Formats: sequence, C-alpha cells, structure tokens
Amino acid sequence: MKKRLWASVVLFSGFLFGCDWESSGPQRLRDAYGTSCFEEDGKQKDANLGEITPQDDIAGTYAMLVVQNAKLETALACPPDNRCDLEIRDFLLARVPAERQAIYMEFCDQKTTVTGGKLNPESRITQGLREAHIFVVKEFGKVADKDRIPLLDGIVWLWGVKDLVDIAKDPLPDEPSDEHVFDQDNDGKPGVTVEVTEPLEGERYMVRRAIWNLGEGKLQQDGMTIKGVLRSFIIEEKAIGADPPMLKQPSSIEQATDKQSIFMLKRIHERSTCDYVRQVSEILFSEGS
Amino acid sequence: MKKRRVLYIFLSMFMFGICVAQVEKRLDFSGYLQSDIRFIVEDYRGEKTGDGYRFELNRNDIKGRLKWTPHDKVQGVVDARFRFYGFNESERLHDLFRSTKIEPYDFQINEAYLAVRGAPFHWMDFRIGRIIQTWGTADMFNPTDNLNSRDFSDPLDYTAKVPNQMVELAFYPASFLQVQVVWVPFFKPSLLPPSAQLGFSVERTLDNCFLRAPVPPLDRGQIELLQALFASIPPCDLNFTNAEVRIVKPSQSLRNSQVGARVKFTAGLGDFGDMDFSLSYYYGRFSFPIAYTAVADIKRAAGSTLDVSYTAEVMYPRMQVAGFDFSLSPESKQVPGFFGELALIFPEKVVFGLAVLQNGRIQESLFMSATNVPRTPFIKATAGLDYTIARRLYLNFQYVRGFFDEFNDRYGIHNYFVPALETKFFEDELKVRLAGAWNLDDLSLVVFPEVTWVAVPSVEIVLGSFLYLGDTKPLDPMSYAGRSKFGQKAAGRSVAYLKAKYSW
Amino acid sequence: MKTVATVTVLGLWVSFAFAQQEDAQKILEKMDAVNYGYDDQTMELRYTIRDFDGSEKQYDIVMYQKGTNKRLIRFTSGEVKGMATLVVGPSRMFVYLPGYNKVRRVAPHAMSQTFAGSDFTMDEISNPTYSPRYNAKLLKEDDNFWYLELVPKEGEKPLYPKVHVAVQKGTYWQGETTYFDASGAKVKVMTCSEPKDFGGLRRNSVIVLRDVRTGHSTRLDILSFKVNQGLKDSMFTERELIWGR
Repeated sequence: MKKRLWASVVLFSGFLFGCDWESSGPQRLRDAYGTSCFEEDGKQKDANLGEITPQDDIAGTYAMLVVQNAKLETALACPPDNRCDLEIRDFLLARVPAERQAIYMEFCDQKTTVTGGKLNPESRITQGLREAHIFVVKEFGKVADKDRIPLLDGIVWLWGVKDLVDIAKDPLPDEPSDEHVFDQDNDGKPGVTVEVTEPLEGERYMVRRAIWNLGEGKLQQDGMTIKGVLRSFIIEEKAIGADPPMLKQPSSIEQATDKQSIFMLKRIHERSTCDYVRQVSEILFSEGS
Repeated sequence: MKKRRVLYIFLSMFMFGICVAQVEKRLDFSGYLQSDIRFIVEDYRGEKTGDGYRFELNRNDIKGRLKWTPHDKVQGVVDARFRFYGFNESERLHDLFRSTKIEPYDFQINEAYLAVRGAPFHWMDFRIGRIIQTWGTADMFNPTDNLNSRDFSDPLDYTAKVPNQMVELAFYPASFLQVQVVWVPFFKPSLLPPSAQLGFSVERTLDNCFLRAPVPPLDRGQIELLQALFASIPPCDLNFTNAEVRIVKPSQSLRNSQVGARVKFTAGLGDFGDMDFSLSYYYGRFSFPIAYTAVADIKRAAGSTLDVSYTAEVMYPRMQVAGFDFSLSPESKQVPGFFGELALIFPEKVVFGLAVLQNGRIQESLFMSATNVPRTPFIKATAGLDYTIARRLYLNFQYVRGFFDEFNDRYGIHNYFVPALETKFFEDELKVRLAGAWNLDDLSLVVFPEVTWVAVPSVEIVLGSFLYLGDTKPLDPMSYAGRSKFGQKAAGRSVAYLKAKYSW
Repeated sequence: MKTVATVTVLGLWVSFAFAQQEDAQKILEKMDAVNYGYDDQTMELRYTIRDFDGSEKQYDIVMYQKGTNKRLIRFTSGEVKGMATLVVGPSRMFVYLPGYNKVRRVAPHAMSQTFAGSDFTMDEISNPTYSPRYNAKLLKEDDNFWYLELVPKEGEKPLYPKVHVAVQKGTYWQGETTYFDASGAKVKVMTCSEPKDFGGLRRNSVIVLRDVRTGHSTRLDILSFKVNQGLKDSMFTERELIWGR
C-alpha cells in the first residue's frame, strides 16, 4: 500500500512539473493582423527594432522633418491678391556618420497643406516618388561639434530632372521631351507625378527644385532630438504635363515671412529605412505640426 | 416576458413541492429577506473627481433554500435568490414602458443538486448539480479553494462564489480520513466589482484632456517609449478612448474542465491537541483575468487631433495547484488555535503583446512583448491564529501571501496582514466587529467596522462601513506593479451601509 | 490502651469519611446516569433567553445524544437556523456555519464563549456530565435531597472550580445547581422543574439557568424526549454535519 502511495506521489509530481503551457499574446496579435515578421518568442525580426538610447553626439540615424511655410500663387485657386498659405512637410531619412563631416539624406515622403485661398488645392505625391530613393549628401566642410549640426547652405533637391550642369541655377525644363526630364517615379509619365484631388481630380507631371539653407541644428537635452530653423528656401516647380490639361496651371511658391520654417531630427534605429520613417513620422513629429 | 413566464412556472412548482413535502415533514425551507442601502462616503475614488456622496446601492434580496429529504440517504437542495436593484435604469422614453427598467431585478440559482449518501458503498457519498464548494481551513483567504470562482460583484459580500455544475464524490474509509474528488465540466470566471473597469480607463484632466493611459504589463523601457511617444502630442489633441476589454474564453472542451481532489486527515497530537490537515490538488484555470494583448489604433482626426482607440484582451491561464492546509486546536484554553493553508501553483506562462496600428497596419517597430506570467511555480499562503479573551473578545489574525486576484503576473504577489476583532454584548444581541486588510508592500488598507444588532430572533440590523485607504494615483507610473492595491480606484468605493435581514 | 482507642476511633472516622465520599460520588454518578444514561437520546428543545428587563428571545434546537460524549445539535429557527454543532469529546467540538458553508473545529479557547447567546457555555454543552470531572462531597441531606459539593478532579480544569448540586432522593433527578468562580462567588444557578411524562419516561421538562451577576437567564423547555432510538455512531461525525447542511 505504501509503495503504491509513493509511486502515485512520484508520478503525480512528474505530471505537475511536466506541463509547459504557454499563451502568447504576440502570436495572437500576429494571427489577427496577419504579419509574419516575428521570432517565436514574439520579438520582431525586423532589424529596425533595437535599443534607441539617448546620445550626446549628433552622429546617428534620424527621421528628419523639414517644414516649409510658404505662400502659393496659382491663377485660379490662389490668385495674386489672395495667395494661399502653403505648408510643405518633407520627411527624410538622415544619417550623420561618426566622423561628423556630412549628412546623408534620403527623401521618404511629403505632405502638403494649403489653406486660406478661394479654393484650397489638395494634392499628394505618389508611392513611386516615395520609393524613388532620392538622395542628397551635404558635406559640413569640417568636423562638426558633437552637439550641433553646422549651418548648411545650398541643399538642393531635384525631382524629375537629371544631368543639370549647375543643379542650383540651371533653368528647369519646360517640355516633357527635354533631355533633362526623366521619369523618376517610374510610372510611365514624364517627371514626377503629383495626384490632385482638389479643385479637380487628376495628375500633374512635374519637375521641381528645392534649395534649403539650414540654420544650426542643436542636439536637445534629451539626446534624441535635433532642432533648428530653416533660414531660407527656394522652391521652383513646373508642370510639364497634366491630365486633365487644365491642371497644367503655373504656380509660384515663395517663402512665407510671417511664419518660421523649421527642421527637426528624431533619433531612430541605425538600420532603419524610409519605410520605417513613413510609418512613425505621424507620431514622432506630431508636435511639429 | 418569456423570462417571467418561466419564473412563474418555477415558483408554482416550488410552492407545490413545499406543500406536498411539508405535509410529510421531509422538507426544510429556510431563507431570508434582506434590504441593503449603501452610501458612498467620498468623492475622489470615482471615475471623475467629485463623483461621490451619493447612494450607491438600494437592493432587496429574497433568498430561499429548499431541502427535500425523501429518504435518509437522498437529498435534493435548491437555493435561489431574487434580487431587486431598487435603482431606476430607464434612459429613454421607450424604457418607461418596461417595468424591468424601472424595477430591475435578477434571479440566480445558487445551488441545485441531488445528494446521495452511502451509495453505492456505505463509505461513499456523492452530489451532482449546481454546487458551491468550500475548501481550506483559513478564514476567507483560501488559496487551495479553487473549484468555484469568486463573486466579487458585491465587494462587501466577500464569501460569495459563482456556483457551477459539478460532480462530487466523497469517501469516508476511516474515521480519521476523508477523500473528496470533484469534477467541474465548464469553467466560469470570477465576477468582478463594477469598479474594476476603472483599471482600464484613461485618466483625464478636469478639462477632459488626456492625462494618463492604463499601464500595460511591459518592461520599464518599453513603457517609457510608449509614454514618450504619446507625450510628444499636446494632451488636448490626443483623443485616447477608454479601453474596450475583450475576454478570451476557454473553449468548452474536456481539457478545459476542472478537477479537484482532497484528502483530509485528523491526527491526535497528545497534549498538544488534535490537528486536522488536508492535501489537495486542483487542475483548472485561474478565475481572474490576466492581461494578454493590447492594440492601440491611431488615426488622425480633424485638425490636429489624434484618435487612439485602445482594445485590450484578457485571458484565464491554466494552472495546477498542490495544496496543504491544517488547523491545530491545542488542548489548553490559554493557547490560541492555529491554522494555515499553502498552495503551490504551477501556472501557464502568459506572454503579453502590444501592437500599435496606424491606418489599420501594424507598426512593426512599435510592436512590444514581455512575459506577464512566468512559468515558475509560486506560492500563495495564509497563516493565522484565533483566540478568545475573557470569553468576550474574539481575535483573529492572519498573514496572507497573495490576494485572490494575484497570479504572480507583473503586479506580483503581495503580502497582507488581516486582523479581525469581534465582541458581543447583551447576550449576543449586539455584535461589534472590526476587520481590515493591510497590504504590507504598499501600505494601503481597507477597514471594515460593523455593528450587528439582533433586534429580535431572526432579525438583524447591520450598520457598517467599508473604507479604502491608499493613494489613488499610481505609485510608479512607469510600472504595471506601481499601483496601490487598495488605493487604486479599481479597488472600489468607500461606503457606509445599512442592512436589515429577516431569516427563517 | 488510649492509643488503641484513638487509632480505632481515627480508623473508624476515616473509613466512615471514605464511605461518605464513595456514597457522594455514587450519588453524582447516578444523577448523571439518570440524565444521560441512555444509549441515545433525541430531544426537541426551545431555549428562551430572558434579559434582566424582561425581554425574551426564543430559539428552537434539536439535540441528538449518544452516551455522554457525543452530541449533535441543530438550530432550527432564528437567524442561526441551519447552524449545527457536533461534540465528540470533552474538547472536540465542530460547528457548521451556513454563511461560510464550512465545518470548523471549535478551539478549546473558544469553549468558554456563550452558546448562541444563552447563559450556557460551549464547555457546558460539550461536557454535560459531572462525575468524570468532579469529585463529590456530601454537604448535608434532608428528607428530599442530597446536597453535594463538587470540586475538580486532579488534572481536570472545568469552567467552574466549585459546584453545589442538589440531587433528589429516590429519583436521582438533578435539583438546584449553583456554580461558583475561583474566588468562591456565586456565578450561576440552575434549576430543574415541571416534571413531565414523555412517552413513559418521566423527567423535569424545564431547566432554567440564571446568571446571578447580570440577572439574565436562559430557559430550556424540553418539547419532546425520546431515548434508545438506535442512533448510529455515524450520526456523530463531520460527515453527518456536512450532510445536514
């Protein structure tokens, strides 16, 4: 009897320890939302995930926001006597290498808001442009201080244009057949395509140049943020085609004098991509609105 | 309407049964009528500051217990309760046409079972039906008592349980030995107090701007990242809604049924008195919800406002419990009685996951997970003593490790001191009781003074209060465990109450 | 010669005293036997608690007893209806509490508490007999009664260090019983009266226990009394307590 009792106790104890039940919340979320980017223990495989710790050095990888406040003039929607307020928010992936001698920037996204006009045009860039891998590198000309990006003049962005001798001063092409025009967003249309939703729905085929003059960007106390003023900018754009054709209206953009334009960098994981910047930009830069 | 018809039929059968069996004196009918009025005696523990100093409850209960013994080896028991809530629940004109809105009530069957004694063997009894089990020797805090879930819908009725269908076999092979085996086919969760939803609500400032979201069971670094993310948004632009909490129910399969077994012994220890002790085992689920997943869905609304809708899921993890309890009554009248109960719990591991969605897509870099309940076995226990001084003052002191709803998740297992003092006057006509529970880790407490007057036999008038003392604000906003057990608003409201009860 | 006489007188006195002691103890044992000397007893009782201002409370109980050590008491009325008490030895007592759905052992320290608000204590309910715990001495006697003084036996610690009990001659019925505390002060007085016939069995049907200090009293009315019903030992177990919930 005693032997049987002890045998039962031993067997029973084994049963107690032998259960390896587990309920995984991450797996459940995975099943519900269809993503497959997870390790078995629920950790994400995406290299973007990792520790982001504050640093006292500007070297690193950032999501960058450049807010350009301007006045927009178009024949119909924003006539000369009633120009519209234009806010352009450019989202970039930026890297400052450890040597602190340059900043590498890749264009990721753009959002524009027009207000104050008779009709407030609405438009958006296409996914093709977002994924077009448009890079700009700006050398500092020296080794920058640990805590600030130096003043930078003449950061030039070009859309739908190639092979200009002087990228900052050569005139932009007028016609889609111009040799300097190229289909940068790979959609079969000349230049870059901008989708218009107001006042009409359609597309504009654009060439564009933006030149930024950044003020000093200071690393904030949190070690995660760099802020500075966009001292001045110039934006030129031309529609070299449109569908419907009435969207091929000329427009002019001039920096606003009543509103400051700024730039901000938020430290992110060193192996982040533009895709990640597009995902988090809404949240990261909400205070910048 | 259909519900009422069923009730009327049931009542008629009930009364007919009473009449028939009463004639044969095989029926025992007992019960009580009780009225309960409660008043909230503070205004800072509600969802919004300033909500208080009002009536919380105006309830009347009619409870009846019918025991039919057609044969000395057979018993049928039905224990049921009508509850009338006394508060008007009408909100629309349409509600005014329905008496159930003006006079809400509910009906519950606490127990309904058939018991057979001495069959098929003389040393065996069994019960089948809706039953409430009570295991363990300690007072109220019984970590080995898991077959029925707890009913905390009324925080003042701390002994209430959720009845459940079960099959119980009891064996009495010797005078010093009892064996009990119970099978519960379906799991039922514990009922929570209404204040529990405050544990998931978003705190707002007086001008209704976002202040604080419920802290998920994640690592500190993860919580800080989440806080930093939302802190970058002006609070009045952040429309963070209260969490919608969903329950992940276990399926009604055989493997989700529960089983309990208990062996109880009595041993004489000579001059040191008799000791009753038991060994028990339970296989089933923890009956209180454990945080499982959370999803924050972010959408930009008009202007600069950001809408964040928060959905959380809770689940009931599996567990096995090896239990031991004892009570020792020393022969000497000068020595207190001792009792203790210990449960070694083998839990299911629960990993918590949190996802942030933007426009319906998971933001992968904001996906977070952390172990909420580790697989490591842990102990919940109660130890106590009771003593009577000068035949008049009854003292009961307990040390409790692990409150009812603690499961070694990220909140942890806390330690409590639970004293109770009771004295009677005028030949038990007046009873004064002071009880409480003190969290030794965060120093919050509940105090429970009560005076019972037996006006005439069968009639009791009870006046008392239930007071929560502790900080309502989180002790550490960056930690899931950083909340005061009895101070947090989810614990409940401080009330004063008046009850009147007639028993028969 | 003188020495022999003295020794003889002393010896006779000692043997006479011893004879008295034995008689007193035998009287006490017979009294217990009359009260509890059946194989088993079943009683329906009503106890009335009367306060010094005259107010009363009544409760009904059913009591089953086997021998002198085993008792099962069920409360059948009042706010304590459903409660049950099981006694299986001098300090082995269990109580079933309906509100908690639990059987609990009553610790010895709780034995001195009153029994359901009455003037009886748990100890008195669980230890109804006198002869196992007290030595009796004959104080005096008259035509109707022996008057005994009881003091605890060695090793026994009953609640009352001294008891005076009157035992009726012929019937060995218990008469007026007075309980004293350690200082010798009178604490309680119990009287038995109103003899009645219960199906051929004659006994006092009313027992009144009065607390001298407070003027409070408890009256026990025996409503029915049956003996030798063949109550089984299994009736006096925790199993039975649980069954009867």
